Amino acid sequence: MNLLDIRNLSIEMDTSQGPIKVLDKMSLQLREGEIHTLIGESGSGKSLLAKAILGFINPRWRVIADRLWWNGSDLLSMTPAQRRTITGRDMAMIFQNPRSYLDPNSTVGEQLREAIPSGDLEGLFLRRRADRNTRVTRLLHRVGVKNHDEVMNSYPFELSDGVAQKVTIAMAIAHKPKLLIADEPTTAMEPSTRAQIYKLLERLSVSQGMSVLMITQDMGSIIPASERISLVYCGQLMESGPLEEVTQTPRHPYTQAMLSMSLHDTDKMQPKQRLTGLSGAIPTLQHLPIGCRLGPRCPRAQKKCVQQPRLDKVQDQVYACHFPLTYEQADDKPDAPAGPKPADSDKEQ
Amino acid sequence: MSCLLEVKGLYKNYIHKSGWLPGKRVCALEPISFTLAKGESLAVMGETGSGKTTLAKLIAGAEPPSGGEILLNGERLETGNYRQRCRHIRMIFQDSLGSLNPQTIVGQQLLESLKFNTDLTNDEQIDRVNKTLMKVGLLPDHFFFYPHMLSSGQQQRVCIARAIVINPQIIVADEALVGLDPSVRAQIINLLLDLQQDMGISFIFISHSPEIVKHVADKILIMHRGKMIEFGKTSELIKNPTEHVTELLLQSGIIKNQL
Amino acid sequence: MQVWINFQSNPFALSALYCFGFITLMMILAPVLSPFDANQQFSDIISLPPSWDDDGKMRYFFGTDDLGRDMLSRIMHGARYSLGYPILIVLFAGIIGTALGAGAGMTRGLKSSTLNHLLDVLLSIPSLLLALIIIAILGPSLENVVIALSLVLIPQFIHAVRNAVHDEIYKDYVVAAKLNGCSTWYILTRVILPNITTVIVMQTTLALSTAILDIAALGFLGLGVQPPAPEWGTMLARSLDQVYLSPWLMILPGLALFLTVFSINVIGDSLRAAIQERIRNS
Repeated sequence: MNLLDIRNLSIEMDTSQGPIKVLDKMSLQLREGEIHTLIGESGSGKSLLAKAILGFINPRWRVIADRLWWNGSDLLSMTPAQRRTITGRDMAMIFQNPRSYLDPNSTVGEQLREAIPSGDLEGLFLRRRADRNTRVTRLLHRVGVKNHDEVMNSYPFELSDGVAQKVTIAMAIAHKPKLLIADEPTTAMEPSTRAQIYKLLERLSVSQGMSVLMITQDMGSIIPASERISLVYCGQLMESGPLEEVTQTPRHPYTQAMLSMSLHDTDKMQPKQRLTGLSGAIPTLQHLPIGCRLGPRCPRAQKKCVQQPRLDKVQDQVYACHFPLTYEQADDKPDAPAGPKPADSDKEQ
Repeated sequence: MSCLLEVKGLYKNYIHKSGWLPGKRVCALEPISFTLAKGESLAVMGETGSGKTTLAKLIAGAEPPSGGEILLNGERLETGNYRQRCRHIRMIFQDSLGSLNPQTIVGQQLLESLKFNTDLTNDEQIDRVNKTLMKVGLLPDHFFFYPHMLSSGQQQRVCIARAIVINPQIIVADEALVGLDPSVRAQIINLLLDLQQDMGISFIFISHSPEIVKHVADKILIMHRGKMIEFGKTSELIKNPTEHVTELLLQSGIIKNQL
Repeated sequence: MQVWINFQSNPFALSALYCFGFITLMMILAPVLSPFDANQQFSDIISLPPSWDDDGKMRYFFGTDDLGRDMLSRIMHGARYSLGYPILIVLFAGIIGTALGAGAGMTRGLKSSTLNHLLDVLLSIPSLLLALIIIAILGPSLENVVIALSLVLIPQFIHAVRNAVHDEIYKDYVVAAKLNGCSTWYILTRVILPNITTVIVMQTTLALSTAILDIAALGFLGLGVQPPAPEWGTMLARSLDQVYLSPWLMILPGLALFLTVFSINVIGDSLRAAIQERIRNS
């Protein structure tokens, strides 16, 4: 059964030009213990999705969904108090720039001690304190921090990026949540630290049976052990499916463009060859196109694209496109009528 | 091939002061030497604290070196002589919005370098700025925009325009592609490749991303703890890295490992 | 521009601005508008209550003091001493302080830090006390008050501007301007200064408020502007003996002082809020 089941989630906000759908019929399913990477550029509404799951949306905005279920119960029909209990117990989130999310005035040890839920502790008074300290040490070891004394006595500004992010992960998993949402946790990090954090998330997912929803900006930051990935553009779901299938046989032109822009097959290209990708720029909220929002930039767009495409399915892959890329049975090359345009200037319409 | 830039024994020490005690000397960059030819792209890679940012700042002239020399076309570049340096070497920063003056229009900022380093008349200067704006993919209307009115891609283009407006020979880019969306990043990379072909500019860029480095760089310089540990052609370093650090840094992207 | 729009949306701020503008206008037009001369004595109508009192006369709108001088004219002329001179002092101290502060901010090293520490010592002494010390050395008079208050306010400007410049100078856009080959003067005036105007404006409002109160306090103590000059503080001091007989002699100058300082403080506060709002929204 799906742990998190989201079908057709839309978030609408009122502006001077009328209501705008910041998220438009977004669907996502997450099973227990699954790692799911959500890829979206800026303005795609990926952080809003995370906030909608946790219930942090601005009350003036409208959240409409066919389904927003957590473990079978509908999150939208609960009272705020019930929802807070569930999200507090079962979910956790880590963010970008870990140092700015830690209290700069107290040591890491104090903050970790606060994060341990009191219900887990045994004994009274001094035994409780000792138990709390042992749990903190164990937690730090579990996230891969060996020198726990040094780290516990430091202030957040003294930690490196990687260690700070491990500390926030430790604080997040202290109460053993079922879902960890990671909102661009490694965007500003070096590749070696990034790899460490990904390995840690994989290990925790396996050992604690925890689902991980990883939100990131480009294809280069996918967790290698993700079971599924989804691509979002301007609040609309473009494609979703198992990692291997989506990366090897992308059906949506956006996926193909993102793959080529992530430079993953540079040995197939000439050195210093111009990159192919999408021309133009990401539209602002005030100028969102109607229908499929990729329309103005899509190399395969035609008149039909002013109607929003419905979600089609091929095996386990879901995509929303009127003119998807198709593949012959034998080879993996898509037979596309028009190749992607070379990326050019971003003169706005 | 005659080399454009020659760096000989360049090093930088900082004095780390705490309180009234005489400070400790910290070596941010140990003596380093390398060459760069015209039209070549050099990538500098290394972990945090390896000294790559220091190297970039020393070459661009933002900080004075503690010793060593930088020769451009055989001529020695003086420290502190910004006018001489900026005619040949320009810098692009990581945070494009932070490197633009929030209170001045874009056109005025592009005119600054022309005003202080060339003898062109006012009209000629404005004309050159407009031509440069078009070359980087912006419109002459953007002359009158303030930096915060532009998108992040456009801001980075303005920074590139500021760098090329006086026809330099070398551009130093300090992690200029970090934090950009993938589509914008692809566009900027294409722009830089085009400019290199049109104007014959050499690039020294600092990057973390092995994918970009493998695609765009002719030579790679690997730094570790302030020392240069490897320097050579991209293809050779990929095939036969001699150091473990090199191998780690040039590790292929995640998708590649999947396929 | 955005700051002005934010400022306008606050009705208190706007009314404070109008109030301050009105007082300034009165000060400038005092020689033209005031009904009588400030020192002209009418010996037949000593201690006349203000016009809204039963015994008062419309001709002497705010009444007269114990020497028969018209209060309205005195207050209007007094604005010149209690508001006009502080404005001049703040302008003078501001220009010198900003120049020195900018110079200090651009330099690094031992010189700059010793200057900073000396300034910190000066700043720790309350402004009024410092002014009193200087007046005690120089002797009480209008010119000496101007000198004393300027000397007191200059360190405040130096401190604020130096810190602001020091913060800006390590930012990327200043480095970029330096690498453009711009002259130091250009960097200071065209690159850094436009970005620290908010600090300078805030410091000016604070300094103006301090200057007005200090001049009034010195006048009250008899160490500042000497009578018969109609400075509000001096008038307050004189009214002490007759406070039960003619309370309007104390209330009216006090009210004028209060309104001036209050409106300046409200303007300064609302400016700060408007600037923060603009930063938050951008």
